[in-house]
Amino acid sequence: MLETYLPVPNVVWSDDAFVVEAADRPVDTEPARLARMAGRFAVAQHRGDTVMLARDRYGLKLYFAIDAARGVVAANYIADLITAGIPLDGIYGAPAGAVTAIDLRRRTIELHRYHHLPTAAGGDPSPRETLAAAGERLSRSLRAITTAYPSATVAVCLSGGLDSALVAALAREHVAELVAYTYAFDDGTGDFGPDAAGGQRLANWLGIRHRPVIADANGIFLALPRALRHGQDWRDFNVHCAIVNELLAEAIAADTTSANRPVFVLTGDLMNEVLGDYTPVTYRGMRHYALPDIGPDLMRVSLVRGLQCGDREVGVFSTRQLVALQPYAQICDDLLRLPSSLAKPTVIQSLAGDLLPPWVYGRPKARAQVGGPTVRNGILPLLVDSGRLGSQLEYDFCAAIGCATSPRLTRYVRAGLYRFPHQYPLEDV
Amino acid sequence: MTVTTRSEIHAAIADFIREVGQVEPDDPGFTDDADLFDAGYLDSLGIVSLTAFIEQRFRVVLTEQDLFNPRIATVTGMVEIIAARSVQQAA
Repeated sequence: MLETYLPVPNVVWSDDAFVVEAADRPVDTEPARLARMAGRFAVAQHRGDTVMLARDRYGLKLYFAIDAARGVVAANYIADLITAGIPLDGIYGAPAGAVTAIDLRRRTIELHRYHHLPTAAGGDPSPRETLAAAGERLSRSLRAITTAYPSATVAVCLSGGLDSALVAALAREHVAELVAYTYAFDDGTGDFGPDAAGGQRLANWLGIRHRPVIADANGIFLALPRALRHGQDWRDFNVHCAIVNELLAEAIAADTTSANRPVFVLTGDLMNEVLGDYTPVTYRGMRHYALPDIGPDLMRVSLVRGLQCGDREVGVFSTRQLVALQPYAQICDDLLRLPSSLAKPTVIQSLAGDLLPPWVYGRPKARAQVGGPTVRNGILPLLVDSGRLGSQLEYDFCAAIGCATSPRLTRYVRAGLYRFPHQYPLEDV
Repeated sequence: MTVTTRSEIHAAIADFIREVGQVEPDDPGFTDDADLFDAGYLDSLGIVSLTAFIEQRFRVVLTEQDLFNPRIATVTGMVEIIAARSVQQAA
């Protein structure tokens, strides 16, 4: 009837409650109930002949297959389904913000969406009011973690960019023992790139203990198969991010092995998607991280919708028994309602108040995985120069998840969504 | 609500794909029943743009089932899906 491989715990998280619980704990999958449930979760349970698969709005991944003999097989990781004997062609993604109801007797599959991504809207409340309320909710959400788990070990991934800077500054207000981890590429000069140097400077300003995580080319190539397997994506932008997070997760796990208590990892992820703050990068004459040619409002919704493919954060950290937390998930809907004309520094400054120094707002945006504004070294150049892009990454992904064959994967993701059956899957065979 | 005929949907979709896929005007492979993905007229970015265009132009939201329905791979099938969705959402 139902076979599950759900090692990633669920996190019930609102601005006044925070609970980490095993994925097999029963959850009311009534869509109206889920619409009021904050946090991240992936639920698979059955009632009679019906299997219900429920997913949160943004964070936790849930894949499934329907097998004639076994019923529904559900998992957080595609690789676990492959190991369980499910072919890649039989694997589908449970959509975010929805309940997938599979009736094994009637052989039907229905999708009940309980959450729709909001779009920018004028009128009330004003952007100022929206940001004020979002800032308060963000702060209360972080306080809820330490209220529930006062002795938890808390790490923050601090890239030096604005998004992680705000998370670090807010966390410092509520967490007594906070350590900031910053990835830095070892280019042999002994100097940090501009992003890592910015992270170090900010940690010092905030008074947070700083732990650089330095990786050379060899370390990056060693992390690649894990990034593909745990990050559950083959597309370059997610693979490169997953490599950074694999390196950070490895360091955080090594530092906290003796901690007989939960280890939480705070990240600044999601803000770039919500505000559409991405630009393509050119390296050796080739454009990477290309974006669709659509207006800014649709772009933001498309980017957020695309978060349901790929698992560069929760999926990566969870394999090390680290609980990755994305505070911006708490205010995504608020931020999506803001007009696209609001620049990120304005948004962050409104949310941060006086918690951040003025100089962080003037730094040019640089991605950790790119190595700096000039794209000279780091993950993207290394992978491109070694031919690990496009179809080669698809091949590497299949090998990393244990898939014996290597089909073209472009048909598995469409418009940012992982494939979902248009009819009861067994009708296809 | 504005009523859109199948021929209007067809013209708008075909024109958009020609633009986003940089299809030559005399390309003999670009037919109503050509597989847009296999033939390379739509890639991962193109389908994002097309989805956004459809939602904006026809006020139709394509579901996960629609996007992975084999019929959406052709202009003919795509028009059928949008027309059906238009009727459902107008009802």
